[in-house]
Amino acid sequence: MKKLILLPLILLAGCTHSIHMVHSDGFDAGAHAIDNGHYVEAVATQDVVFFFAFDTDYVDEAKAKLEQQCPSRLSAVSTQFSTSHGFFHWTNKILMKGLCG
Amino acid sequence: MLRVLMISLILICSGCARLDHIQISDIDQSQGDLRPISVKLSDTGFNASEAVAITSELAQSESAKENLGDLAAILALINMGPSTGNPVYNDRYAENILLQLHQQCPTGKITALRNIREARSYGPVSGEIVRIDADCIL
Amino acid sequence: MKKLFVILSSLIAISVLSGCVSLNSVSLTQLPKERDHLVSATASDLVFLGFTTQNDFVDEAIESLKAQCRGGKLTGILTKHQTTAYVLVFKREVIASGYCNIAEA
Repeated sequence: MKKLILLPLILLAGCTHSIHMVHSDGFDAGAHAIDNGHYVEAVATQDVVFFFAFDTDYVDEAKAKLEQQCPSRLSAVSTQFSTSHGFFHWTNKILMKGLCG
Repeated sequence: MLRVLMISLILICSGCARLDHIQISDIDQSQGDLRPISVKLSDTGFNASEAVAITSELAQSESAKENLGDLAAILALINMGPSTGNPVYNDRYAENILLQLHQQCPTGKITALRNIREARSYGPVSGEIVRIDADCIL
Repeated sequence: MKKLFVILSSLIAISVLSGCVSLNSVSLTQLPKERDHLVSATASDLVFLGFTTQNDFVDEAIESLKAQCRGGKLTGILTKHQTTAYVLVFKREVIASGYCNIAEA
């Protein structure tokens, strides 16, 4: 009975995340950019199993995805770097957002 | 009882501010008056493994100590990975930072951005904060 | 058992030799409309057991970027600060890339 109660609690407790940093820049476009532009967002992830990670290409992937969504000027760019934890593995995540137009 | 009081005191006194990351952008004071703006987004961080380990120390019986110690180890294993501060259960709490900045600064011209990742920590529980202070060019 | 040991040892050896990379920080500045000319620069140093007395390698990346875009404007700068861990030695690296737009005379 104890195990039946503990198991879901343990599984729920294994869904944790950690935001390491958020960086934002490029707010000189002015009010017309907010009125006429639209927000775009790109996410890229990297699954790491027990410390085996050999590159940080997922960052470049997020930037490329963001650029694809906005062929014009992209201002007010914010970059969030976070990790989602798991059992002997975790997922690094980059979330990039910006104002297109 | 004394042990509980001591540990509680330690936890309360360790209610610390923690600075993890800071970045300062360009500061332009040549385009007009500046009005300070600030966006602060946070979520409760909770280190379950540490909390159970503390409980294990406070347990009276040896079997309870052992069981809680095992539980703390399991919780640590299923939450592996790099961590800044205590882990949170929602990684989307800082998603709307751009929107909030633009709401506070209708001109859209923002300078002197300070991107700060900080926390208010109380042992295994903390407030994990993403804060952006800036100046809005009027 | 011996086969498992060989496989595990090989995996560990591969990871140790190629290093395990972790990202410390990342930032992206506003992207320009013209993205034809991408320039990039990498600077790194090796640190033994985490002991170091300076971070001068960062300046190398900036100077290298500037040198590739003389007289122009560098925007859309993606900066990655990462660490590659080998046995006892860490490689600290700053990788920066941006779009260079030379202003017309």
